[in-house]
Amino acid sequence: MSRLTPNRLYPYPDSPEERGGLHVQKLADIVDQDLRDVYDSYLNLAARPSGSFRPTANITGVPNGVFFPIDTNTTEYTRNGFVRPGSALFKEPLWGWYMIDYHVAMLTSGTINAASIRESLARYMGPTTGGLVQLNQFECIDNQSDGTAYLHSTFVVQLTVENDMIYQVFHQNTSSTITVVAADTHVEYTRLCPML
Amino acid sequence: MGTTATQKLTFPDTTDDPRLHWQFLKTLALQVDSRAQTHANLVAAGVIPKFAMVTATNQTLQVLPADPALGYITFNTVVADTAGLADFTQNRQILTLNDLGYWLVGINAAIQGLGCTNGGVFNRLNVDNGLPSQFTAFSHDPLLGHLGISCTGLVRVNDLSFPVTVYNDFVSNGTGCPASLPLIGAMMWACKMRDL
Repeated sequence: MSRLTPNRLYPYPDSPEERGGLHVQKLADIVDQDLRDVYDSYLNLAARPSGSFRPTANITGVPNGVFFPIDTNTTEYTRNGFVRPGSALFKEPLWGWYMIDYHVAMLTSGTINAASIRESLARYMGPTTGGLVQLNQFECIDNQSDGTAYLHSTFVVQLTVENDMIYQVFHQNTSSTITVVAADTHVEYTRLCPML
Repeated sequence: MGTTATQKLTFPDTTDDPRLHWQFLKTLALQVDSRAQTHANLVAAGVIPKFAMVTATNQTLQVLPADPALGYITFNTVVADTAGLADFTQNRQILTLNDLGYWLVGINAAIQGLGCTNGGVFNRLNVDNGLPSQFTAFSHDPLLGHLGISCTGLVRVNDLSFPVTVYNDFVSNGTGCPASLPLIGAMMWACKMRDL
């Protein structure tokens, strides 16, 4: 027979006539699951949702002044993650506040001193099928005389299921003579705090 | 009556009158329910870390190397604060790290129209613990006009005798830089990652 304790449904016998052994087994199973749930919550707390991926669509060959999507084909690491392989989305994340690091290292066709490479990680928030409702750009920029550039941007965003995210990169040289001959892009994310 | 090893829950054992087992089991179920709920409450309380993020809207910064104090961003919105970290009173644009442990802090700012002829500006994230070990993380913005600059740091707080605070300033180190700098927007955050 099942009875409600203050917080859960636990079975226990009502009278000596009931066979206690069956109830003990049921009780043990439920208690085991309850305690396991608590332990899982602890693990979820200790293991922050986090991960990283290295988009395969990098900047090499991308024309100057265009947006192009980044993909998540090469997920390197994920814990309670929500990045879907092949997608440019952070899809159905565990709600909360996330810190995102965006890194680009590149080699250009020539010196870019007195010019620059700018990469903007554009964040489209909103329903994936309902159009774009918000665009934030987190930019980074660099110029070096040896033709290399390292760019990074770190920021915190609030992710919810309703706000799946699409990232695109806006690539812009200030000199039309510069082309990117090699590049490596890397994105990392960590949840700092659940939804408040 | 028997007693469990860790949770000290009582249960019927072989010396008890079998006719009373059902009462003992009911008592055990109530004990387990209470203990599991206590644990769940502890986990729920622990899920929310000490975390704060503040943002700033359009404003003009003074970026004079002789007086970096003029270059503080005026943060004007608290978008999240679980532990009373943000302090805007009396122009104190700070986050206070008010607990022992390891803290992740960061800043991202978008500026416009820098136009230095050489060098650039630093967006500095300062941690003040009242000791000579005060450190500054910074990101350097070369030359150009419209961009974001960000930096992060991991802070070990092992002494609360002096309030440990995080704040920002902009300092120019170039030539031909304008004395004022349009700020498009900024965010600064702090999150306690773990205990000492």
